[in-house]
Amino acid sequence: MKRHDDQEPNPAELTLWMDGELTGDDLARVESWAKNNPEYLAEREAIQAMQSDIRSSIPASVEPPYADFFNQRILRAIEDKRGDVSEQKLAIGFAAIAGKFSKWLALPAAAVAMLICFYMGTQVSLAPDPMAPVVKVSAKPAIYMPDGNVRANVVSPQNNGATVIVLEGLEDIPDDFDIVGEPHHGRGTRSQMVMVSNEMIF
Amino acid sequence: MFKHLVSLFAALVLPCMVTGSALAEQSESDTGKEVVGKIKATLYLGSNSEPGEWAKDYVVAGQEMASRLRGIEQMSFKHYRKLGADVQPVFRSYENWLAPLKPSEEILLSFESRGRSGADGLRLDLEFWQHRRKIMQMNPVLKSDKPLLILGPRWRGCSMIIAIELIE
Repeated sequence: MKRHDDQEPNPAELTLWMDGELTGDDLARVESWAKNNPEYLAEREAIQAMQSDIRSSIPASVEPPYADFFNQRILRAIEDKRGDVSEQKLAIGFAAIAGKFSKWLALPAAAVAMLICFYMGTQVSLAPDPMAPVVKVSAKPAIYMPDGNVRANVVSPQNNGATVIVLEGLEDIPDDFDIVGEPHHGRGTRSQMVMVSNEMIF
Repeated sequence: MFKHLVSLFAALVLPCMVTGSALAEQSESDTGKEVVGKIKATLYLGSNSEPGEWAKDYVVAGQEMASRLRGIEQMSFKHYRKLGADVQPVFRSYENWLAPLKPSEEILLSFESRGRSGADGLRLDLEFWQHRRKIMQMNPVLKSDKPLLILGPRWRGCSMIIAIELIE
């Protein structure tokens, strides 16, 4: 059955007609329908004018710049891709071998590491070096006299080898005090003092 | 694999190191108590006049020491008596005391090592105490053949001399 000429074309036919790609009976039928629908005619003319403008300003085909370089990059990318795949296969192979090997080595390696670390731990000590560094300081002793009334004179006698300190200003020990064999200090009011040295020496 | 080894290290090896160190520390005694020397303090009385009857309880000082003391102008006397002596170890890092008049504490010496000095010297922090009062503080270097001689207080007309020697 032949379609009626006044029947509105379907959207596909209409699009093809506007693009100028409709042919044969279909073209005649749509042309016949368009005579009664001038707005579609106007629209088709506008589209065709735009297409004509585009064709006149843009060439039909454009060669890419540096085509050889472009192709070379593509080929290299393809080769790299292939190489990655082969390397992955190789790595997987090595990993499988190493995995099997490490299964056997892990325990002995851990045991050896433990023994080494245990030995190292036993060597960690706060003990000072028996050959402690020798401190070289002045041979003359530094003297501090807490009691300002007592003075110390350092004497270096010749051909004696001894260091001599003469204390001056000391309080004499009472004659009636038996200094030997007196566990407790019976003289003076200080006898009840408790000896506590809390001095900090820096 | 590396992650597993790190875990293994953390779980096994580190505790082993800590345990080994702790055992080593336990097995050793306190190193501060290690004896690094031995010193002797001897207390003499020097006088030019013959001491009284009381002095007969004390022995006459040895000839060698007497000669040495006579060689020092301030300590030169005709008669020397030995009142007492005390020998104590020098600890590496602990204080110790010399009481040459034991059991009396009238004359005391406290000392603490400050390390070796030279080949045969030992530096000390040394304090001289009389009647529980600190009289002097010093840091001499003691050597085995070079005593430290202190001319101290007078008692019963005699001068007290304290000889401090490093004997080991």
